[in-house]
Amino acid sequence: MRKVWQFLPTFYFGDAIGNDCLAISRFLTSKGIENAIGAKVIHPKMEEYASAFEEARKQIKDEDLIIYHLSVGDEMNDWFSALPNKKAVIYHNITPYKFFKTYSAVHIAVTQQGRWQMKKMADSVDLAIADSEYNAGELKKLGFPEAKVVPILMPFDDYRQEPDEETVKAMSDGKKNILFVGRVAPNKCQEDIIAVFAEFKKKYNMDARLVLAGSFGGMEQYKARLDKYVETLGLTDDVLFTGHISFSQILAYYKTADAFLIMSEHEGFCVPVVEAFLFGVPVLACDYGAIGETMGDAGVLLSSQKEPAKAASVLYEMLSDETWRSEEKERMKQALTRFETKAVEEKLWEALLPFVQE
Amino acid sequence: MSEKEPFLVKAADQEKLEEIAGKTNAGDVDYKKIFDETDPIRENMVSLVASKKSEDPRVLPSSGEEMANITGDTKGYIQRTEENMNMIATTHSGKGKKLFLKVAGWPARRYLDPQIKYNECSVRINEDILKMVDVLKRDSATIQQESKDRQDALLSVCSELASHMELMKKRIQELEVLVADLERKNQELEDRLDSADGRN
Repeated sequence: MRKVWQFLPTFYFGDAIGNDCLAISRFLTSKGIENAIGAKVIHPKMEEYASAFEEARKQIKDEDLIIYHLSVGDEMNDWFSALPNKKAVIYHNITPYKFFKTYSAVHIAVTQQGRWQMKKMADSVDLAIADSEYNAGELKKLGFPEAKVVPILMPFDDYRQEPDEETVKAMSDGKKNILFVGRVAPNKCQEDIIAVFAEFKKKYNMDARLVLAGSFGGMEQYKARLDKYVETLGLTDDVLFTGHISFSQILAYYKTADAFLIMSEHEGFCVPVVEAFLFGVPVLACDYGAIGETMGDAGVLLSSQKEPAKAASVLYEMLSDETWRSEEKERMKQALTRFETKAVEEKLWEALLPFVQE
Repeated sequence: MSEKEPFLVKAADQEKLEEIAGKTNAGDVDYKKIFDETDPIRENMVSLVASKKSEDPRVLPSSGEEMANITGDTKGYIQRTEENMNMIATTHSGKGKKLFLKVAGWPARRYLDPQIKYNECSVRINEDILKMVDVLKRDSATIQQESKDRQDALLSVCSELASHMELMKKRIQELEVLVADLERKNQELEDRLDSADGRN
């Protein structure tokens, strides 16, 4: 009986791509399709779900189907392109290398490599799936088969776990909590979030803190710069960099957030926007990448020209106008229906069925 | 963005929020400039260079060359370095010339170990990229050569065709002369016959 293999370079715990891969695996199993996952780097908490790449690749039979999660440059991309099997790629987007200039030669190299490898991959796949229309557009430009758009499968049930009690308590001190969740990375533009917050603090007499929740591993130079920037703006006591935190702590920050502020200049899907909606936290964002697409009819989307003072004035309104906030909660609930597991699984099956059929 | 371009792309109560944003002054803080000028690592390195310069004034013309020496890989690396490598530190001499921090063998190296480790890793990745570039260059060269060979063969055939055409032209000219000569002779014969008929 032929098998469906999912391959990806790194299978992390709590990572959007890792979660998507695992959810697809469970979905295929529910459809009675034998499947497995292979990865080069597997987080200890994910070891029961995947096999080491070198072992997994030996088990592939000619008739097996291969699904590959593409999000970074890696030798595995070339290996996948060269496989003779029937193949599908799920494209999560590769961050353009320009963001990493002066911060990380490693990131420049892998992102450049990834984009280069994508060009070679285009002719070799039978099916392309993209998380967003934005990602689908990139695939189209490179000559991939027309991509089916299937949002990332997010395990909504996981977000109903208990949040970290200590964090909830610390954040419930009466201050307004403005939150961003995401890696500390130049493409996420944390410096622009800080600028909006700085204007907000300066102009409005509102006791508030900015929480930047995310790991900065590999981006120490950028983080050092942000630290100095916060110090220069006199915001050291008001800005919290959490670093790497547990899932229950992330839940706690979402639960206690009053607004979600994102100034990212590149997103292929933007899982944190959906997470914010799940917790009823209004989102203020700039129109880059797939952010607007993911937000749908909820949230406030600003143009790509960043003006901290104006953004701060809009943020103030979002925090103050209770009628707007109440109505926004309903809009966010509506926006979430596109990402509910059943809806996404239907789209996924529609995309995969011709691929898995004989 | 022109003044007429909306600040908001989409939102509920967009008009109201647009109006609020529109009434807001841009403020006098240039946040981008402040951030661009914020570089604590560079500041640390500049002061480190200044303090170490009196101990060891050696400098190299290129940080790429120096990093290549550290990692033991020089082949093809120097070219890519200026594009991809992070500057360890720069400072300016009194003459305005850029100087670069020499890292190998200095106590300063231990402060820069994390950066060096990243750079070593990027060298390994760059090696793969350079190998790919070599393959593409070879492929490209092969294609170019094949194309050139085909072009040469085509030119050779065309040249042969041209020489045949020249020969044909010559033959035609010769034929034309021959025909003209035959016509002349034919006319002479006819004239003689007519003359003979006339006497008879």
